[in-house]
Amino acid sequence: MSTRRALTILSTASTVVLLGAACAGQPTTEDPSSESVVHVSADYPDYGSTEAALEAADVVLVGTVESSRERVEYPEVDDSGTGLENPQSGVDISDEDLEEMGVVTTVTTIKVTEVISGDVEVGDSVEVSQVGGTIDGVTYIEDSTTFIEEVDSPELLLLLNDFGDGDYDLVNPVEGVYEVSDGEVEALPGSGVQPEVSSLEEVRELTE
Amino acid sequence: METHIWKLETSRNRILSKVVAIMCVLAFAIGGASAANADYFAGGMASKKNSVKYVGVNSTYVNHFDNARFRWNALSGVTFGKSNAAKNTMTAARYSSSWYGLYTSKGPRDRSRTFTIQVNARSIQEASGRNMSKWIASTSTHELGHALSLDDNPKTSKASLMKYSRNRSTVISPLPYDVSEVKRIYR
Repeated sequence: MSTRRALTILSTASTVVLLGAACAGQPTTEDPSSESVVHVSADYPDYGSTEAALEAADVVLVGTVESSRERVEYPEVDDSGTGLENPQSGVDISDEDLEEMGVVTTVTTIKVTEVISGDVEVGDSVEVSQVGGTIDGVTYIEDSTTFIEEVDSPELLLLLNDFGDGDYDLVNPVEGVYEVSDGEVEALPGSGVQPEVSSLEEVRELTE
Repeated sequence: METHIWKLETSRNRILSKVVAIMCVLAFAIGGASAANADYFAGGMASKKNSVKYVGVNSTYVNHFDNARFRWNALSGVTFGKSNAAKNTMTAARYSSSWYGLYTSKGPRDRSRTFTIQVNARSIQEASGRNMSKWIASTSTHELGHALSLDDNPKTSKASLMKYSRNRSTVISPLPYDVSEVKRIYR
């Protein structure tokens, strides 16, 4: 190795080291929050397999998107139950308190075309809530959520939790929704999920 | 004389080669640390010192939230204080949703940013069996981790409080990986 060549490599390596040091500890992702965009992070159950997610779901259905709307979801607030089960047990809640508890959600209405399991009927319309949406000009974004209405697929396979009174939620944002086309099932692009099933037939077999 | 010059030249090249090798190793090592920034959560707070106000919860949840703060406050330099004047809030309630906890931050990452933490007692009760208290603890502490710029599901094989796949009955405190990340981000 010539001295000049060695010095060139040394200089290059030093630059890389200095750039690396300058970058360490600095955000590599842009700050997502602004006056009009709010960042939400949710802690969700993780099932680890399609079979486990199917087993956890109260309702498994195939359907198409009819419409969607945004709303602020408020919790059930009453004085019932134990202190652990009900955080409001024994507490007087003001309107201001309740306002703090609101969560911006997008509710999508799904027309059911096939019921694989659960207490719904073909032809029913079910409403599925997802965290996030735009209210009063402010957009709330939850990183792992793809809004159902934005999925580019003829039909959707949905794994839902039933909270009663017509309230449904995906078992989680990535293991609870799949694209369906001609009976074939695929995870949403970029979801990182690798379903062990590739067709509705396999899903039906798993839920029998 | 020629032999002497040749030996000097060879010796200098060997030293340079070693220096280059060391620099390359350093560059790789620091590059690795930078890559770990994929776990950085941009919705966190600018400072490790923050205060929160509890909203509309009973004494059971006050205790849970206190303990969640104390678990983080055990780290050097981290302070989650409690103040009724705080703009950051923690609450819990029964929501008709699958999530266990939510962290929402508003405003740019400077002193004006505020956060809200919401814990879902309903979904936790339905999933936790006899371990509801532990799951509330795990969720509350996890959500405070976001205020310290820790992201969900860090890309590491090490155990972390911030992973969805953690055992919520046993992982209720920051683990060594989480502690090291807070130190790295706020150094």
